[in-house]
Amino acid sequence: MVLSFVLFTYGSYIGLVVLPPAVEPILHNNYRILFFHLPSAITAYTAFTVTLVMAILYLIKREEKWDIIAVSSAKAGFFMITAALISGSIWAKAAWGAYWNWDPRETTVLILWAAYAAYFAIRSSIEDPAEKAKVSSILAILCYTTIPLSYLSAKMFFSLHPTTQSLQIGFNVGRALGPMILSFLLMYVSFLILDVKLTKLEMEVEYE
Amino acid sequence: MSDFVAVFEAVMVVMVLVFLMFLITLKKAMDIEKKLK
Repeated sequence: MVLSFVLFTYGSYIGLVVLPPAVEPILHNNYRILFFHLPSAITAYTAFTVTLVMAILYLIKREEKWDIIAVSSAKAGFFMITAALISGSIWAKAAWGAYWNWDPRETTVLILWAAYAAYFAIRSSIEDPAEKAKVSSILAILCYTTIPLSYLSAKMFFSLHPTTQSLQIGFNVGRALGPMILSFLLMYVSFLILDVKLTKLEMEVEYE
Repeated sequence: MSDFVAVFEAVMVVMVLVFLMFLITLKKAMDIEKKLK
């Protein structure tokens, strides 16, 4: 957590203060949103991948711990994808002129967001713990299909959203982006450890 | 919208959401404490 804070401060300072404005007139200074938008999107994709793996492990082994990790990871992923969606929308207003353009990337990420919102809604509606874990594991697998769809949308369809290849990240941008991505991933790991421990403790208290 | 306002808004949104993410763990810890009393 401390390392994450140090990296966050360093990355923010380089990205927001040290780096010069972009050469492209459309991006100029608003490209600095990238240092917050991309790390939150990468962390969200990582968190949902962990959820998928844990959901599969639960369906194979039927042990409660896999379900606890899956749902904690999905929570972190949901917060991160919301951050990426809103920051992306603000960036779209600055660069393209409107908050929402129904761009393929925007639309598919919105579908992803809605799918995981449904995952939490359905999960909270089931009372039996075993049934809840089984249904949410199946749902987590189904929801994950939206991840490759959103990732590939900018390549498959005509999109204004840049892809990782078209970005051509140089050393200057990389020295701010690298620490920021690492910082967000460490924040996610810290949250996951904390939330899993608290959920286990909560269950122990309830059983007593 | 100026670039400065856009960057400020986006950074604030991301930071608030990260803060909220950790706030739910604090809420959970407080609920556990309440149950233990």
